Amino acid sequence: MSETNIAPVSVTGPVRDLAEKRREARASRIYADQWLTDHADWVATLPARTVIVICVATGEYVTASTPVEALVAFETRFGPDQPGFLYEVGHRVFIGGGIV
Amino acid sequence: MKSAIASSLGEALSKLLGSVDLRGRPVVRIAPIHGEDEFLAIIDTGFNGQLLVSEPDLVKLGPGTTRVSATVEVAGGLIQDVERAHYQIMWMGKPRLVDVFISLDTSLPSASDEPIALIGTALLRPHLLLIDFDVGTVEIEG
Repeated sequence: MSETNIAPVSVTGPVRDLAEKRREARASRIYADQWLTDHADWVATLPARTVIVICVATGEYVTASTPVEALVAFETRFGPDQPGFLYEVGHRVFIGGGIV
Repeated sequence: MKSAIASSLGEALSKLLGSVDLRGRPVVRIAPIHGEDEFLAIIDTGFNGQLLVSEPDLVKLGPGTTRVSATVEVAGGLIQDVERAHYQIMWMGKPRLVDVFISLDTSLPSASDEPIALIGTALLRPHLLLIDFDVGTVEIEG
């Protein structure tokens, strides 16, 4: 796959409150959306349900066949504090009742 | 109606027992491996993940693991930001690493006698779920 030219999301340290967590989650999503667009041709070759966790500080990534395996692989490779974004190929998680 | 607390004693190797609570919600009691006491979780067949917990209640699952961002689709088709992490719980009598969705939408922890989590269909697979809303019993088998 080709190198990405996306600017990394800045990481300022431990997340301290919900508002900051939400801001970080939104920033990670924006970064990941662009990353996935830039790598769409490669992502299209992956089997459905392949899990990609993108390190939004560096653009590197890990893949696995389940979310738990991917989370463990991400932690093993990047350590416990790197911001990441988890994407499942061809699968969307639905919370029918919404979040309260 | 059987209480969820009493029914938690019925957890066996191949069966998890719960109840339909006074608000009509099917609930079972979940034991975290490294967390505080058992907690109640609502079985939500409209949720296709494994477990959903709000940020303030997450401490009940134990020490944190690596968390990453993700999105989910909620009712109405809106896309919402969440976080995901893995935690170990007792499930059907055995320790199991589960994929936990963390809601970032509330800063208030749930009341102590209220369910704190949603159990989705990904955790129920490949089990058999039986809910008797008349009698008020919940069984997750094998």
